[in-house]
Amino acid sequence: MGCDEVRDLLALYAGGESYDHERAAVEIHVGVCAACARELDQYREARANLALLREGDAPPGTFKTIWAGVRAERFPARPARSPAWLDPALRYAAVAMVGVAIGVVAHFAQRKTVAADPGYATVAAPVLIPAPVQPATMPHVIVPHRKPGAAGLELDGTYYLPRVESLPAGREKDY
Amino acid sequence: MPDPAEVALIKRCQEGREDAFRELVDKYQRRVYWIAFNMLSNYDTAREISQEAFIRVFRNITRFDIKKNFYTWLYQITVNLCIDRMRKLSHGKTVDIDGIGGLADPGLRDPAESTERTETRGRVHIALDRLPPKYKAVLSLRDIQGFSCEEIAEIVGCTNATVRWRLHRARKLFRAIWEGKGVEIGDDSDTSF
Repeated sequence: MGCDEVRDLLALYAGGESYDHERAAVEIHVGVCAACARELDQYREARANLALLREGDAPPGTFKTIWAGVRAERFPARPARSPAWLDPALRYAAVAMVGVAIGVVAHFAQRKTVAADPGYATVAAPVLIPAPVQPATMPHVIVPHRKPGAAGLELDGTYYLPRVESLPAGREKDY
Repeated sequence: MPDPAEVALIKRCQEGREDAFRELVDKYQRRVYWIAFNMLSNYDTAREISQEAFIRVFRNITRFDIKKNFYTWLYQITVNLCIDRMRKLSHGKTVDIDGIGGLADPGLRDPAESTERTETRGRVHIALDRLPPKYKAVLSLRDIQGFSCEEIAEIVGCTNATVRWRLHRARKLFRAIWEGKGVEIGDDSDTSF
């Protein structure tokens, strides 16, 4: 293999990526060719310089800010939910519940007060019995009477349904 | 085969659990960040792209097939976002030279050596930044991140042979740029990206 062919293989040989047959040819050639050996050294030096760039020191705080940025994008802070009491339906329900609660409390408080009063417990409650209906209180039935010369019945202004016998004979149609 | 623990973690993510999302971010964010940084040479843009990659992953996590490797999917999204960004921005604006130079290497006790390495890193970024996006992607995934050609093929969505071809071209171009040779970085026949 000549110098031109070998020089074409040096770049990969320096990095260890040559195939076996290429590697063997390069090694034989650089053993006898100073120019190609020097060129191989230059490739090796270039690789060594590149290796200087392996992890060095990043500016302080770099690796904290990466996660902070990712987190802000993928897990943004959730907005605070509006308080439940702002919901009108819940608000009215709460007012109603408070009203019911006040009523219940007042009821039981009143019962306790009555039970705690000794006088109330020993004196019998008056019993109110309605007075019997007396026949005398019944309204008088005023029987209509016929006035002479009157065209029809005349009542005293109190009420009443006329009795059948008070109806004038032959004058049914007036009623 | 995907790791069973990871499968369980992804299933929890698919259920929308925030703690699982966080665990996944903690596990992969460094790798994602450095892939983005090596492609974009800018700390702020790399952070932004990393966030966007995770957001896209989580948006589509319910559709992810758990029989596949999660990390190749995540890195594929990251690389594609980087390539899109590189195409939108002009190259000169993406290199954060001050930022690269401003971070000392904590692993070195000798300040002079640390400074030298920091300067070299800056130069490497400048050279990398002159590469077309498709070459920059395979070169950084292979020589910086250490992925295999098979993994890179899966991440960039091409064949193993295409990855090898791009690596070959990328290393030749990078070496030429590094040595200050005038190189013509034009279009070539590989337009599959």
